[in-house]
Amino acid sequence: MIGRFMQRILKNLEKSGMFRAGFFITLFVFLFVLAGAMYTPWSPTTMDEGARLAGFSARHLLGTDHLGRDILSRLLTGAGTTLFIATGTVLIGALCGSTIGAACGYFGGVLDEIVMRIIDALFAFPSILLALVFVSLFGSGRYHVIAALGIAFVPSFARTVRGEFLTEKNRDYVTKARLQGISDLRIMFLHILPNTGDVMLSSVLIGFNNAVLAEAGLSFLGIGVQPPDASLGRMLSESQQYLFRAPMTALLPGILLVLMILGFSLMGEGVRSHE
Amino acid sequence: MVRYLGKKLLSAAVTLFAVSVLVFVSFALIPGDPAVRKLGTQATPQALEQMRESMGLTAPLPVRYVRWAAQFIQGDPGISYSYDMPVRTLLGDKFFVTMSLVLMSFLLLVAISIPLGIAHAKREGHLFDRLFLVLGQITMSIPPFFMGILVTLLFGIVLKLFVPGGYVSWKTDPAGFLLYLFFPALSIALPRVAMTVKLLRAEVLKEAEKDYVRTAYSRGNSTMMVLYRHVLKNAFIPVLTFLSMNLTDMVAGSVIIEQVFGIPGYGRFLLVSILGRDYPVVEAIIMGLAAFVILVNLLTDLLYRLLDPRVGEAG
Amino acid sequence: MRGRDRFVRAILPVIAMSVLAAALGGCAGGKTADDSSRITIGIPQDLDSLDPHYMTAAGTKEVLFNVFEGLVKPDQAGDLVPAVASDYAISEDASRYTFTLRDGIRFHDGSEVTTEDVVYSLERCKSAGVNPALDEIASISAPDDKTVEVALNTHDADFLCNLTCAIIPKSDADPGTNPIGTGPYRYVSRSPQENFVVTRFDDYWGTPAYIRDVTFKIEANADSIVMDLEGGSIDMYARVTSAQKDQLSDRFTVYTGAMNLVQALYLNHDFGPFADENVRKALCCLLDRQGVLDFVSDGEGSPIASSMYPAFSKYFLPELNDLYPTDVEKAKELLKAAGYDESHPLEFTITVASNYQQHVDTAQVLSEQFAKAGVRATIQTVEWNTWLSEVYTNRNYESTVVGVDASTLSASALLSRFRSDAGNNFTNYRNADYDAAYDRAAAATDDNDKTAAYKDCERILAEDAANVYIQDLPCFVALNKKFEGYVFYPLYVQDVALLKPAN
Repeated sequence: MIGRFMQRILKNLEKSGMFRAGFFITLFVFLFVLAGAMYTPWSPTTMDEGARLAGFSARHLLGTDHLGRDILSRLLTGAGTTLFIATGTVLIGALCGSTIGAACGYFGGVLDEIVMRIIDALFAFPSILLALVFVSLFGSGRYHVIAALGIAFVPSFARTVRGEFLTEKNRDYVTKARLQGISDLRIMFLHILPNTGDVMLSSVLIGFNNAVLAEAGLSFLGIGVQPPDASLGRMLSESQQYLFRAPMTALLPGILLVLMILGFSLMGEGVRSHE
Repeated sequence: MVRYLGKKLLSAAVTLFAVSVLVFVSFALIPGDPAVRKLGTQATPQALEQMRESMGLTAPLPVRYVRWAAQFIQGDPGISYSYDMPVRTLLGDKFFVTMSLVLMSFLLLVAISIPLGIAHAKREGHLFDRLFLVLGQITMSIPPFFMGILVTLLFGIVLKLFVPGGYVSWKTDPAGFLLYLFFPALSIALPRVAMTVKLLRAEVLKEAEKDYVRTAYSRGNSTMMVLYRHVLKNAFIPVLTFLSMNLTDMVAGSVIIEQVFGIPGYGRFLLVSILGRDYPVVEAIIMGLAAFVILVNLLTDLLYRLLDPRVGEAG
Repeated sequence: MRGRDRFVRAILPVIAMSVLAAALGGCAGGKTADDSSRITIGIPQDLDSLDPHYMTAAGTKEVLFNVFEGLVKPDQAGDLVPAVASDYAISEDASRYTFTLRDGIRFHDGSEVTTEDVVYSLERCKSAGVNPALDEIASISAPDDKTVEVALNTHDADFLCNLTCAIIPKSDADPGTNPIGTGPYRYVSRSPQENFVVTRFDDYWGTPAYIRDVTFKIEANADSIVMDLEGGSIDMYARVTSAQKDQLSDRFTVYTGAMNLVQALYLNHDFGPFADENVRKALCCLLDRQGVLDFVSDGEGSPIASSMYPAFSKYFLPELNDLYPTDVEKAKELLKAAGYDESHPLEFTITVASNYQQHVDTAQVLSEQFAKAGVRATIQTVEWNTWLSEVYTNRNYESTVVGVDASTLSASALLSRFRSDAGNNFTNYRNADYDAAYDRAAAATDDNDKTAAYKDCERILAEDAANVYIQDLPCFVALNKKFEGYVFYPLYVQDVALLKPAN
């Protein structure tokens, strides 16, 4: 199984330039996160009194933020946090959302009608309010932000997947599979779901992007990463007001964020255009 | 058709009911007292109690809900706690602003991405095609508010094409209002353009490989004919879902762009009202949002039926 | 080479779009009217009420200062000067205040101010319940059509500061949407979350304003202030941070003043560890005020060590700042005495409202400073209304960083909340000595005795290490050089009438 997976990766690396680029970007991001888990040049919360908003130097390779904290160290730890939260959120949203969407789209009828109305209701419900309710019910913390955001993302995944299933289920291959007596579950997840790859990939990317930002937005409600801990979204929003004075404090987390998402999307794109 | 519409309307009513209950319960759960918010931290307990009374907050939750719902159904969403103004007068303006912004982004999105998507499908495999894909990937990877900042920096500060924060009301200067909305709309549309183009291109290619297309060719139809009469029609269905999703997404997500560009739309108002515990306003905004989502979904469903009669059989 | 050609073609649509945008946006540029008889002032949040008797937010009071006046109003030195009244007298025992109505003073709607309006306004203000101090009023009467008398239940020589409440016409049925006052500017229009527009009142009794049209524009995004100032969409912003200040070009004058508040790590005395004065003193010894100032306000705040800020120069005691010099070793000893050491460290949570970046930053610096003696302070950010109900009202917290301001121009506004039985004593501070000192101050009719007693209160708070007092935050006002004449008040006030076009 793992051998086959490796073979596919190698094949893609060989054939697709886009996959290659994406692969190395992702590899870089992962190594960066891994390195951050083991070593940081400074403690990410130590404030260097002599150096606030300092530029690149030997002491602080990538400079410092407005409280004199080492940006490289904060990026190293923050990237991991962000990756963790965003991945968790998208996983919850995508798993629950696509299961619901698949079932609704495939079976239709009363189930579809009821579930989709609930999904519509959730969709219109602002995630800030949802998060506030979450904090007051369960308290705040890193896992709660994943849960709250995950739930907030379910509706958009569900609706997308349902739309895909509505069209796919009438295609010839589905009818054929049904005639062969293959079970509905198998048809749904093994036959139809892989064909929704395009839309799923875009949704996952948007979801990932939104999760990163929402996390930064929600930490101001007291849910999620709390100061002085770092996350890329938080670093980005905190540094916004120093944009003119120290643009690097905003650009660096921004670029790392873009790389994180870009790596995945290039890989996905590469796989699809060559298989 | 009438039965279908009736069913949809009934389900819309159920959704709205569910939303309104959700909001009501949420506000019962989260901390924060609108009376304290209004009278301040120094207020006397009697004054606070009086204020709660006049806001109708002393009654039990179900009673409050029924009171609110009875009013709402008659078209009166109540009086804003923080503005002492009828919610209706307060919000009409805000919805107009946001809708203008969203519509403009949507038009930009459609106007840019559909021709581009088709053009790309026609040139599949060209280097041009692949380069655009990469460019598209990059725009898609830029977080929306980062995009907002970049657009402000480039067009506002460097090129001086607009005054950042220089929003003008449509009442005083309709042309200036629309011009100011152009760049925010662009920031909303840009990341989505890449996605829509990609999707449309993929769908067109998928469709072009189908048997019926070959049949159409073999009957001697021209490429253009086949593309527009057959392929596009079928390729549009998933794109349509995607676009309608985007439309609702844009409304829900415009809050970030409104914030970056200082546009007084509903998004900012919703945020301020939630944080200010102005329940009547929040209820009204969310109900409006829900109604909009339902309407767009309904229209999408109707369009499906027009484009693909088979959908109806199961629905 | 072929590749480059393709690349150029790929970006062509992007360029075409930019050109289109340029064509469309062309007319939007250069729209900054150079008319100095109008000014646009950015404010951080929308007004919470236009009804002067129900407004509570400092951000609302500072704007409506230009529209409404009380019988008396504060001046730049922090003294109360006659406004709607032309003169006043206080009875010997400080229980009766007599005001003479100013001759010919008019409301914005043109009607003349009558004693009936004054009595109505004071009574309405009292029954609004927003300022509990007004409950001391026994009666308000108008013996003749030029005189208004306010009688108190008690003897209070400081009561005048509560009589700044706005005088409005009795005929105005709905002051919340149709504000009418007597100030130098009159209300024109308001668009919620967008702006608040006023224009010069030409029949103003005092020195008329210089600038005719004033728009207060709500700046929801604090991060775009610099862009908005530079881009010309606002001419003035009164809450510029030190970081923003450094990014402004020389087209702006930056005035430096103080925010007039007491920023501290407020401790909940009902939270076990803080009941022990050794713990509180240890935290004071760990605090490096200059360190906080350097990080949070570029070193421009004023260090303070009790519930009093320097603008109240009559009461402020600068020597208290040296009471607990930074001394990590001593802090460790104190902690040891309280039963905390490395194996059993002191742990607590700092709850802080997330909308105040300076407080969040301060909490982060404090947490680092406390860590030097092994104290573990975790930060919990909450949204402002949650803070108000959980921390301030329910007192369900361990410690919090916040700035407390004075609602009126009197020392009691800052000190009364630490009485054991005070309704707004959110720190649950209970100290019999303090209560005694405060009662002496309240009872004193002689100003010197009163001041001395208030100073005792401050000393007790500092010596008892009631809270970890930090600073009065600096306040930076950015004003476009097209204008001049900004003046700081010892209260939250933006006196627009003093602004004038630069020569």
